[in-house]
Order: sequence, then structure tokens, then C-alpha cells
Amino acid sequence: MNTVLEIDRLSKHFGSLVAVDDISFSVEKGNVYGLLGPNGSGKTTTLGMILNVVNPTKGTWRWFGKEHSNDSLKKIGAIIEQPNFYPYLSAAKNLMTVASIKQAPFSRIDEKLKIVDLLHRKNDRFSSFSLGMKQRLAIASALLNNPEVLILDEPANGLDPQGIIKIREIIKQIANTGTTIILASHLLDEVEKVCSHVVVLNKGKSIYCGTVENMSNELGYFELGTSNIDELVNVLETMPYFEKIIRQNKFVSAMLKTDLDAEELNRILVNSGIFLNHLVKRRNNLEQQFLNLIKNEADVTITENRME
Amino acid sequence: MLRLLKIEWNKIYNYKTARIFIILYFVLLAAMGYLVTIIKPSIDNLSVNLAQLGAYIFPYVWQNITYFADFGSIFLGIIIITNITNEYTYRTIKQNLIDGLTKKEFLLSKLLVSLIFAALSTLIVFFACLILGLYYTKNPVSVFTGVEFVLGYFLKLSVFFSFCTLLAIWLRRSGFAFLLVILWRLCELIIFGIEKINSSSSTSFFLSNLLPANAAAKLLPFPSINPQNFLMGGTVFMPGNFPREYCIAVIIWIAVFITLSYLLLKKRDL
Repeated sequence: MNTVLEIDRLSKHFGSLVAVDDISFSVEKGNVYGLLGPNGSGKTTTLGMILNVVNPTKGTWRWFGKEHSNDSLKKIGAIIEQPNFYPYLSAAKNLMTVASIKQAPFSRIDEKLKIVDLLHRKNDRFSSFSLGMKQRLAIASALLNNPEVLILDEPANGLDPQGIIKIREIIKQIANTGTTIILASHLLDEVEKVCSHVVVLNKGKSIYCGTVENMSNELGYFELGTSNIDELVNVLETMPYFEKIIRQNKFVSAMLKTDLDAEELNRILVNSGIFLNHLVKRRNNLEQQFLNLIKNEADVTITENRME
Repeated sequence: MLRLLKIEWNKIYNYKTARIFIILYFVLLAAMGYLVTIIKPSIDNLSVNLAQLGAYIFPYVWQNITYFADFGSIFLGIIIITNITNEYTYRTIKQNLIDGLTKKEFLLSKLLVSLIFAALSTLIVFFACLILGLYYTKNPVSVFTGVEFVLGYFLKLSVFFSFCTLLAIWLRRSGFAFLLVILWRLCELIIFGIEKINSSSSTSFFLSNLLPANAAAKLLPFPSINPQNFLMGGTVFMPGNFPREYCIAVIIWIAVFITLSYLLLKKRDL
């Protein structure tokens, strides 16, 4: 696999505040990365540094295996924080400015406006656009140079549900073309729906980088349903696989202690004379995993402090 | 270079207010050549006909017209400041850089606009002087004696615009930048005043005249007048000496302002 971006021990200090603390991670081609972290965890500062608008205090990064140069920026499409355009210019004129900077042909302007469904508003001033339209215009502008990497910072921030769905569809559509995407967000739900990989930042440190599945080492849990719940619970309690069995309204949740296949469990239960009408193997969702990670990190810090 | 110009043109020309002011400025500048001939200011109820006083004949026309044309430069200064501070208010400078413009290219594109404004103004003023001179001068004299003042006009505009650029990049707010332009001018005048009071009456060279605004003002001195000459049947005006030494000072200041602007852009996070 090709490495698109390699960040090596990057730090940024604002006076005494350490916004980004010794971050290292890499981004592989063709994946959709979620850059996760609570507000103020250093997401935007990190993006600012690798996009050359924030001067790093320490550390290096390489785009496409090369030392950073402005030519590499021309292979990237990025929006950080909010869509920034000239309010007095029309959508098309704004994109013309961007196209001249990126040295992309003007003929792509209509094409990209069509992708984000703004072609009918191309001659309207940017200042007359709604927030959702501004975000979409920003995506169109980032796509003008047919980028190899697309960086979006909180693209769904402040949008209504329809707006969020529209942006999500556009992102998925772009990801399908093989473009690498880095999506910074604190909306975990959002990231979970589109990302295959995540980088988790907390207080300026990167605490996880990898696939969404491997984010937690938990084995997950089964959600089971049958007509005779009492009998099911009894049988489950005799099995060695579970650390906890919780009875809920209609279902039973059984937390796994050792790995167990859904098929295998079904076979065992059938052999015990229990026929399920509901069987799902689940993992904790990203939100819980993320909170666990942040919590673990906090615990580690507390223990470290105590040891000192 | 052409790419940078195209980018700037798109930004400025489509900004209605800037467009109107730019057009108005250049129209007024071109019209000035005609307007000065019909305006007859009255001093002590005495109508003064500048043409009769010989204001528009060679070689005096070069100094007189450039001196008055310079007042218009504040127009362009405001446009140059707003054009840069807008990039900060709209945060488009950040997006421009993310899109792949270098900080050097950003500064260059702004300086290019200033250069074009200065060059175009100079060209218009040059032709205004030439036409007025050719029309009013009756005696055969060398047409291009004193044409250096046109160069002085160009340099004065250039140093003013590069100063505006620096202030705009430094303060990022147009209001504060305008204010400092004015304050700066006053400060230099005060420094000059202090130096003059504290020096002997025979001194003809003041160190404070090398400060940017003072040096720039020296490039286009107020036309020297000698009423006695006029009574003798000559013209009121006396040939001014073009101050070459201040040219060098101003060129150095231009370099300083541009360098500082670049360092400021480079060092700052956006």
C-alpha cells in the first residue's frame, strides 16, 4: 500500500499551551480516515500544520513520500474549520479564483458544482448561500484539482439532518472513486458511518491509529431473543463463554469473555433445545469505544501522576 | 506572474465598491489635466488664474501637476489596504494558502496590483503634464527638463503603497491600518519639528527627513514661488531641484517594507 501522508513527531506550542504534542501517524492510500477528538484536542492545528498555514514548533511530515512543497498541496483538496470564500463573488467566480490558484481548468467548475448539486446556483453570490450550500461549495472547491487526498474538517458542523445526509452521500460517492479522505470530526456517529480507519487525538496526543474494528480489544456481545427467556438465561449461565448476562425487556445481552461465533452459539443452543427468534453479535459502537479510549488515557495519566 | 494577476483581477474587479472607486480615481486623475485649467482659486478675493501665472508651462508643469496629483494616492491606498484586510476578515488568505498559493505568491500578487496602480497613475500624469505643457508653453524650451518629478511621483506612490501593504498585513483590520497611516505621517512631522527646533539655523540637512513619509514628501516638494519674478514679467514659479538623495532613501524604504511584510506573513500562523 502507498503511504499518502506520514506525520513524524509533530508538535505545536502556542506560548505555554501545547496544542499538539508529539503526534505521529500515517495515512494509507484509498482509505477513509476519521480524525477524532473532543473540541480542543488539536485536530485543526494538526491539519493546519500539514497544510502549511500553521508553522510547526517541532516535527516533520511527508506528503506522497516527499518533503513538503507547495506542489504537493496542489494534489490535495482541503477545507479547514469553515468554508472561506469571497462573499461578494458568485459561486462560479469563487471557484475560478480557486482554480487559478490550483492551476485547474475552468471547465471543471460546472462538473464539480454538479456533484454537490449547486449548478443551478452557480451565478449567485456566496453570501446568499445557506450553511449547507456553503459546505457543499467548499467540497466542490476542494475537488477542483481532482485531488488524491481530500481533507474535510467538520463538514457536517451546524447542518440540519438533511444537510448532514447530503454531505455524507457526497463523501461516500467521492470515497468510491478511490480518493483518500481525512475527515476530522467530533461527531462520532458521522465518522462511524463513513470511515474505515480512525486516528484518535486527545489533549494534543494521538492515542490510537488504525482500523475502526481494531479500535477496542473487546470481543463484543450477543443480543438474543426467544419465547422462553428464563430457560435461555439458565442455559447461558452454564456456559463458559460469558462474563456477564443481562436480562432486558425482550432480549438477553450476553457479554463475551472468550471469542465465540454466532453460528456456534446457535448450534449449542439448538442442542439444548432452545430456538432463537433473535440473534445478533454486536460490538460497542464507536462512541463507547472512543469514550473508553479517552477514559483509559485519563486513567493512565492519573496513575502516572500518583506514581510521581 | 500572469496567473497571479488573473487571481487578483478576479478578486478586485468583481468587488463592486473597489471597482467603482478605482474607475472613479483614474477618471478623475485623467480629468485633472483639464480641471486644473478651469479652476480659478480666489485668494483675498483675488481670482488667481494658475495658467496665467505660468503653472502649466515647461519645466514647471512637471513639478506642479505631480504635486497635486499625489493627493489622489490616498484613494488607492484605501483600496490596497481593504483588498488585503478583506483576505483576513473573510479568511480567504488561509484558504488561498491551503489551495496551494505560497506566501510569497500571495504577497507578490498584492504588490503587483500596487505596481500596476502606481504605473498607470504615473502614465496618466505624465501625459497630462505633457499635453498641458505643450499647450501652454509659448517659448521654445526643452520639453523634458524637470521630467524627473514624474519619477518622483512614481516612487512616492510605490513607497506609500508598500507601506499600506505592510500595515494591512500587520494589523489585519482596515480601520486600524488607515488610522496608523495618518498617525505615522503626523509622528514623522513631529519628529522633524523636534529635530528642527534643536538644531542650529544654518542646518540644511535633517536626519528625520530620511524617515519614510518625510523622505517621500521630499520627492515632490511644494512648488517654489517667487512673486517678484512675476512682477518682472516672468512666471511665479522657480525651477525646483529634484532631490536625488531622497530617491535612494525611498527605494531603501520600499525594500524594507516589502521584506517586513514577507517576514510577517511567513512567521505568523493563520
